[in-house]
Amino acid sequence: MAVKSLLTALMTLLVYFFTISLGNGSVYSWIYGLFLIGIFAAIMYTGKVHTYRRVFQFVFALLFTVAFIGNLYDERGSMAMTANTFTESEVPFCHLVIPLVFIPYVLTQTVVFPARILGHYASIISLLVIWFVATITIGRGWCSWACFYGGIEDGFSGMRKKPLVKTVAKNREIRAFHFAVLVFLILMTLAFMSSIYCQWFCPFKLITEFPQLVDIPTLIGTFVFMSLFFLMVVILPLLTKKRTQCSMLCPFGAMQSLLDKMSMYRVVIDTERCTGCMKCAEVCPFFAIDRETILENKGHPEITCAKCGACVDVCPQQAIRFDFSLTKHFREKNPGKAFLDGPGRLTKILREFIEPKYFFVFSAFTFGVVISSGLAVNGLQRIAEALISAFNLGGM
Amino acid sequence: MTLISGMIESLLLGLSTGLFCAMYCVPPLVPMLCGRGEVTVRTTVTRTLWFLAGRFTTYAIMGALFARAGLIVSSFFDPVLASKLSVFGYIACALVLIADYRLFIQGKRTFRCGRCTAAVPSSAGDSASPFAAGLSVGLHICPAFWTMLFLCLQSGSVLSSTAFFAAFLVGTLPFFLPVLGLPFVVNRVALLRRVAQFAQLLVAGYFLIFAGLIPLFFYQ
Amino acid sequence: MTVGKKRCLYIALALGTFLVSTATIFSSFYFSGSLQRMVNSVLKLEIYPPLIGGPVAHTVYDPMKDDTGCGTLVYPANRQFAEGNLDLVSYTVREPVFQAPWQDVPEFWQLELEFRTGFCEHSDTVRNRTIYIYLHIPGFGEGSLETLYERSELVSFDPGYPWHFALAVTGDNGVIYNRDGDRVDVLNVLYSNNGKKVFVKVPLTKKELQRFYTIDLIRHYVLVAAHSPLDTGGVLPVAKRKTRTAGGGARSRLTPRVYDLLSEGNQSDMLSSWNDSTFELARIEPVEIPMRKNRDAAFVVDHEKIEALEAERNTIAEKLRTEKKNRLDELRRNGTGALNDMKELAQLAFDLGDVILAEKLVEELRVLEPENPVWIAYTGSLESMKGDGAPVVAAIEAVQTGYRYLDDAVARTDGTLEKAENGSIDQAAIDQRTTALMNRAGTSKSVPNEVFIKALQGAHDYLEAAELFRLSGSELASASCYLDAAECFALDGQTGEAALWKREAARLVSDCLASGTENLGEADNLLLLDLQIALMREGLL
Repeated sequence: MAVKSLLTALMTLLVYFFTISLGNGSVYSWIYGLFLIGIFAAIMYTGKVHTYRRVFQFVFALLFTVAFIGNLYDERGSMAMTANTFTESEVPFCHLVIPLVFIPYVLTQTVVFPARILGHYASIISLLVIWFVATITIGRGWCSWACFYGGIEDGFSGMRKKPLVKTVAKNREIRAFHFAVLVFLILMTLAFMSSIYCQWFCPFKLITEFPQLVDIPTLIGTFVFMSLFFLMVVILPLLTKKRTQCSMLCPFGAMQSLLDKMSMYRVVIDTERCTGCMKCAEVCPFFAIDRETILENKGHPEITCAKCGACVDVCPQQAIRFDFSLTKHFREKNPGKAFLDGPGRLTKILREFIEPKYFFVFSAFTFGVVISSGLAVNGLQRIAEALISAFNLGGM
Repeated sequence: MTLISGMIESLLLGLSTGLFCAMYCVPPLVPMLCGRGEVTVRTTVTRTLWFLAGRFTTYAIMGALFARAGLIVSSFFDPVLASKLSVFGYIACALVLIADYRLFIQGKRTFRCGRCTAAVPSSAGDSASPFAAGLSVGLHICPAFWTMLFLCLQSGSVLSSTAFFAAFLVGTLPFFLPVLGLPFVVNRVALLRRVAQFAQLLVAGYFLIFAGLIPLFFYQ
Repeated sequence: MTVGKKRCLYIALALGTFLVSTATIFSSFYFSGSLQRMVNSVLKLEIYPPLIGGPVAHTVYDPMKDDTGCGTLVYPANRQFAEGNLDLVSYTVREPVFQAPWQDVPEFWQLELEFRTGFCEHSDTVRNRTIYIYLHIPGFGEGSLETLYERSELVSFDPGYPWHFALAVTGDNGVIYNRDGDRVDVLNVLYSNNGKKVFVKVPLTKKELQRFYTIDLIRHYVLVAAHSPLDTGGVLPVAKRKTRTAGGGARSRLTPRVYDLLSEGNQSDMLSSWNDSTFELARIEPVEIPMRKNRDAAFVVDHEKIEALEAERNTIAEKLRTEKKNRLDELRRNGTGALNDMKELAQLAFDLGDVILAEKLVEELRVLEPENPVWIAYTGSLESMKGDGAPVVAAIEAVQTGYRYLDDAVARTDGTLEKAENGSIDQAAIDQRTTALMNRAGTSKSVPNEVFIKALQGAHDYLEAAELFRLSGSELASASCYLDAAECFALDGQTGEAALWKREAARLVSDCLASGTENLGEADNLLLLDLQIALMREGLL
């Protein structure tokens, strides 16, 4: 309890700094700040990571969308990218493109994306620094705790109580397909020296920006990304209760899966406690737990685990938990066994006091707070001002 | 320009721009190398050499045509025509990749035509398939290729133009050496084979629709 | 491993992981500005050139504020023309591109023109300029020596360099013509930054234009005129006095109707070279521009000279500092009964970095002169400086408090520049405005841009201050402000703007050096040395 209170107090300070203070203490920054503190406190005191994380991420994603579109209208007057935007190298850089620009950069020392290099929140270097920090701290946890696109899917995937389409049997094929998409996108970007994902396949263009509709190819492109959005971000998550776009099409997610070994935290499965009920596999939104994962006593989810906490919350035996990556070097035969195990009272106290779950949630949530604060507050302000103006007009 | 000086110039051009050639060639080549059968250094080298042979064949044919046609070519060969040629190259490559998937990954190598039955030998997967892919990739006109075509045009001789393209191809060879490392990676991770197979279909689909049919019908 | 050792190790791992991960996340945000610059200094990122028009072959910088044609032209009395609209400041030629991705026409050649100002709110969007670019291609045979439309710009061309292609850009429309006056193709014209920058894309789909792929050098005549939809060639005529339908300042009927000409020499000499008695039009010279970037070229920095200048600079700086210190001590000894003495002492304390004394004095002065924007501005700077070294939350609050004062000081002096240009304001008021702007700009330059996003505002403050200094006759102070503005633009990621203003600073410093420095006071000498050292390090001097 003491640790939870301490962490909640620390988080309150962080939220005050990042959200309220940097938001100039506006009403909206206070509202969002209190929301963040409430979410964190709920996770700490109920122990339910996934549910409240999902609420946070969905709200952030919606506010981000409003803020981003609003900023585009302020700067440009529309969501459409004009030839100017490309020529002036002013396309906002997106983290989804990072895996695609890496190899062309190594080979040609140029970035195949016309974005500002420095000096803007959506500049290339800014996103690279954010990406690097995310990779070494929370790894693929970015997808669950900071991604403003994934939050939309997360929201839709949580709407139904039960999936209409079950996918556990196909998990392996789906993971292979995901990596194949990454390989395909990298190869095509290398061949054409431009991000073809952005050009043709990004479903999130619908809620950010897209090329002007000036000819048939851009019309086809528009049709493709709109279809992908409705299929992969709305319909399939509703039907399967999985984050299908994140787990099948997102190149950044695939890359983060490969780099997740560098992160400071991981999810482990205590194979002695596990009874093979497969509830974890059913709830995992990232196709990261198969029947083989459990039967082969791997002791951890598959490579695509995004540390969302769904399996941790649902396991009736509490066999799945967060852990510190460094302790894996000291684990014994059961890789999922707690590092500090044993009946001793002091050991028990230590294990509860330094429960990795809460430390991970603190780090991951800090990341989410840092990424979300500016844009979410802006989004909230835009919504509030729009509502006020609508009520005023209605009143007239 | 003498034969030797032309060959040296072609070799140097290949060395300086070979990176870009490799970048164009890698998308159809890598999935074919990793997606099926045994993936050893021997099969990788064999398939890559057949691929390069296909590329060389296209280059040599085009170089010879330019050499024979002479300066009249420069009056009608322009970037727009080059782009159209590239588009056909992508469509052809896509069809090769799809056929390769069907024949050698799905294993549907037997055909029935009335009472006759024909089978494509499995060894064709290591030779004919990469050769055909190289043939189609060779139709992609990049700035280096453009320079080579005009070198051939100036030479006026089929033999010289073949020699120039051979030298150019040799110049680009060092940039294909990294593919020799693929067997070591693929054999360590079983999933990579399936990944390569999916990637092959995706590359084929992209080449056919987005790099092929859409530009063919809708761009100038 | 014993249980005790396990426990210790576990605690160490747990706390270490937690602290490192949280501290990394926190500090990467807080220090993101310097982190980003450090990362970019290693990676040296560049955008793949075909995505943005091709690699830059060459940029020519044209002097600022030379939009007076032959030296006497003024803009028409038509509110569509804002100050600086026709002042070309840079001309960039990129290498022709082949199979460029994400382009409607993948084969093109891009030219970029940058002007001092964008269009005003009254401008009929893009219709107030007419740009003609005449191209001479060496070895291309006969060309034309007359303008595309007879007697439109009233200039003639160097007989050694007749033009072979002409690009006519009027508003959204652009067309390229050959030497026979035949239309070859339509240009793609884009405007950015409200018309401050113009991108002209020459499609290379026609055979006649594909020669641009193989040419090494082209000579460019770039002429900027005022647009008129009714007059020949779309060029607004000029007369003795400006009217709504004509520019003013013409000295004869043969005065070229060109406000700015891309030139490396003296533009007004060229545009004044007409002959009324023989009816010869003014003859202009082209600028030679390579079509490929000279990849071997690198600027040479004369380190020895810089060291010598630094030594000289340090000597003067030390001397001035000692003088100021002595004066400060003297004023403190004698007491600051007189208001002017108090003001002087506050200024000295601020300059010498005696923050405590400065704060005390500025506070007293604010009580005595509560409406004086100077003291409000200094209060703002001093408040912001409290953030230096303070804990993070306190630092942010200090800076935000500081900006409240700084913004107030600037707001109180709004309109000064317009009045200064009209000559309807005194020097004291100008000084108040420059102080307010310089204080705010200095703070904007110092605080992390990723946290406060003030660098762009700082750049504009410096530019306005530069304008005021120029009106006051202080070219060196103006140059210093241009250099500071360039730094702010660079912080904001606008490297193109930064390069432009550095060039302008270099030009002013060169002019100052050329006109002699014997009459400069020590403070001006110090400023000149600082500017020389900074510009020499960038290879601009």
